[in-house]
Amino acid sequence: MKTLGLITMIAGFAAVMAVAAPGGGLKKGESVTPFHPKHLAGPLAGSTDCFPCTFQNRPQVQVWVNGDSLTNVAGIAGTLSSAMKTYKAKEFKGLVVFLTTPKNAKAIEAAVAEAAKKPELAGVGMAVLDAKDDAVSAYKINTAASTKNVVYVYKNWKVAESFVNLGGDAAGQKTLAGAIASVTK
Amino acid sequence: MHKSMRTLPMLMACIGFLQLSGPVSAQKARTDKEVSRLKLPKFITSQKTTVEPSTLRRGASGKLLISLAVEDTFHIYDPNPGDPFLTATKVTPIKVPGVVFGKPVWPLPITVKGAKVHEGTVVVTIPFTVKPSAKPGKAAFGAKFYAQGCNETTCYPPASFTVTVPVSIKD
Repeated sequence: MKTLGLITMIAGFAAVMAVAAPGGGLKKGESVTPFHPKHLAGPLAGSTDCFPCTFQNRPQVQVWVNGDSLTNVAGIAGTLSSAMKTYKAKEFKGLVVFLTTPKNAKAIEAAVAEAAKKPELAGVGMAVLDAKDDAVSAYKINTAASTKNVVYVYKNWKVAESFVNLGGDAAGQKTLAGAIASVTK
Repeated sequence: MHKSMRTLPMLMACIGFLQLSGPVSAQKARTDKEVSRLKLPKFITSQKTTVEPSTLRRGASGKLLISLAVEDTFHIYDPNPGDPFLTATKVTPIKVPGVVFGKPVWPLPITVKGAKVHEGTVVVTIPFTVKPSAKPGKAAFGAKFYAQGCNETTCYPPASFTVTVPVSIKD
């Protein structure tokens, strides 16, 4: 019985390590990678095209949403929409990816499609992706409930800045706007 | 045997199993060919680098020929891809004392969705001249690449890689 308990403990420890390993987020200088979410709004709406592959070396932002409130996400997406106008000449692009489960996918798709109609979010890509997609680990997204969003600001496929649990409030918007400005110089 | 003594070997076996369940590649020595392959990005399936003529003498000119096999269905971009937001392939010859390398010569690109690209086997030629003052002996000729492989639906992130070939400069 003692042996079984010890083996169980070891196996359990190994399992915890496997889950805990990813999730720190891509660091500055790491590469974004291709993935194929279901685009509901924005330039790739109606497709599963790869966002970074389509826009290549252009300055871009990806916002990965893991259960964040739509109000907070709207604040972030609004900053992206505004930046797309400000940096139109630099062809800046923004994408918000909502992680889903088979249970909540339809509800999230409906809510995102509705939110994307708001004029203040015009032009921003909105997509959904199953939380178990390989891209989630490739982008080192921690799907624990404590991680509401992960934001990657990048250019030439390299992450320039990343944020976890970025606020959609004035302070968060200012932080994001500053990061976008740095990749659109 | 005491019960705790029986437990220890079982624990060791468990730990051993966990360690062995790591990457198989880490458990065996790699051949030179495998090591060479690992230095290439995924979108370059193989490369062959040669020098013409095979015997280099001081004061002579020659060509460094770099043949890259691009992954099936994928392409790499021409150094002038026709779009500033695409990853232009950069080729930089590795400096060798006493040898002057010229500008890399690319085959004619094809056009895919308005971008100039190369598919299949791509041979880049770099002319060179061995100065009369060059020291005889062994050297490595080659080049550093920065490129990106894409196809109709996806891209690998841009990557750097180096190809070389050993040469011998004679009197």
